[in-house]
Amino acid sequence: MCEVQKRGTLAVVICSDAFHHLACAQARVRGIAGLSLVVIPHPVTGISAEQLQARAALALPQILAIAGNHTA
Amino acid sequence: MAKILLGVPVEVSERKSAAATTTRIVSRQGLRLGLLDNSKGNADALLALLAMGIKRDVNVVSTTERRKPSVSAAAPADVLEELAAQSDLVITAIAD
Amino acid sequence: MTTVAEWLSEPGAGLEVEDDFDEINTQYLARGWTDGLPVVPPTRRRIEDMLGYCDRPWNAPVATIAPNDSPATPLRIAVNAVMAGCRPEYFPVIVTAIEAMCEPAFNLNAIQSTTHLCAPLVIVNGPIAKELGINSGYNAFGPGKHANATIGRAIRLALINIGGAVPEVGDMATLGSPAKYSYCVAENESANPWQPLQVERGHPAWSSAVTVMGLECPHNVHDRESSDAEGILTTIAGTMANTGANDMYYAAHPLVVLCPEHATTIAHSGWNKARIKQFLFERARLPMYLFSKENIERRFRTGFSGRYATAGMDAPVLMVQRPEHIVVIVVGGAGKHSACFPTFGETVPITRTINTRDGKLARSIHEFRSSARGQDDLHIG
Repeated sequence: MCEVQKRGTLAVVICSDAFHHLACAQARVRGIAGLSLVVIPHPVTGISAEQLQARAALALPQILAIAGNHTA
Repeated sequence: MAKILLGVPVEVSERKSAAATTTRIVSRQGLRLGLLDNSKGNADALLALLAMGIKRDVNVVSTTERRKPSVSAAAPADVLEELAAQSDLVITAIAD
Repeated sequence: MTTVAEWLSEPGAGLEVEDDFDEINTQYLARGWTDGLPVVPPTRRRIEDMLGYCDRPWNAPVATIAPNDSPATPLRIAVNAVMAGCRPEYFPVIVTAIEAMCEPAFNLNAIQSTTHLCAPLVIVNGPIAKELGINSGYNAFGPGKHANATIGRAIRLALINIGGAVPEVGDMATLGSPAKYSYCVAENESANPWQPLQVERGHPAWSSAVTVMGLECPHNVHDRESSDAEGILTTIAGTMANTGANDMYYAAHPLVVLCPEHATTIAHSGWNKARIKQFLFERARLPMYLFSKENIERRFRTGFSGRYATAGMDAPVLMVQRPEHIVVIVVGGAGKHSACFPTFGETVPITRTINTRDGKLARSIHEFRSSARGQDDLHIG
């Protein structure tokens, strides 16, 4: 996703809290230390539709806020 | 006690200089949305929920959906290129 | 010309500590620079001795190690090899193995950072394996031999310290595996009725080579009753087929290690490696009903819709996509225990010959012996 942002397109990565360290480190290594990360509770696989909706509900306002910061 | 100089085993790599960190402005009037499915379980469903939510709030004029062929390998360059070119905002999910 | 002594005085290259074994180990452990076990202090003299078996520039990276994508110079690798307890003559094997696992097709970035418990196995073939005393016999995957223990450990320390495979940061393995301490073995070529691995993979019999594979730990296959190839390979195929492996979701290249007695029995049946692989490919399958309904729906019917979308519950799920993807080698002492090694999935074995700086196949490890502290071009800068 750093490659997307390097091309000038806003990239947002959703990651579960268990992978936050890895995501931050990878973003730094790949040259976009400030890559937008949206953190949601772990896990994402193997959960119910309701649990997934709850995670989406947590992520959505964060994504909109990030997009809002890039709005003219 | 005497001091000794020993080798350090870690390499603090010289970070690649960040290229364009300024991104194009996202327009609420006509957002081109990009979704990258990492092909791990539920990533597709999560992205679908998010896309639905974004569309409630923002006028999305196009949606480009791409899927990583393998969960365990980086997305091919042409997929990322296409997403970047056709979108103002690209969302992906990495999780387990 | 810069020397090791001068390099050590550069920022980030040297650490000044009290000259005391316990204090040194306390410091290195506290900084997260070890695998948890005590290390040999990487003194200037030991680093120089290690580089005495490096015939290329000491500060030119041989690869970049994921996930940090940090440059792996012989100098930095040598520090890790000293810490692991290696003898200097092991160094060319370590460097070649690191180069091999940093080839893109190996997918080291994912192997290092995945939740899966895989580790890169280093298989060494050829005269250099014998010269260094790399164990290919009794307990070859276990402890006891200096070369196996320390070559594998040096690579692990480099993966941690240069690559950044630090637990919870760059190494997200849910469980990990004892193979992450050290995972190095030689093929028992004298007990192999067929071509050794490096020859099968296109290199001369007199060459020495390393092959790296991203694998789980060995899973035992005990069969002392079967008296022919079909019998033994039926038992092995059954062990290869299991519902929890990653193999069936990818184009996996699993490893099958035959013990010498099983290999001899199979060869007496007149089977070559191609026939072994074909048989295992056909038999290492599970009926779909053995998988959970969620896995059937999401991973097979949706993920592999071309093959399984409408398949019945008795339809065979293939563990291996092509016969030639199976890697077969011979290792071990007496006894009737072979082993299967499921893989990370998205990785292919990489073989690299052990070459001198001019690109020629090395016949002996001593060809790497630089007249060390004299040659300008071997040193830094």
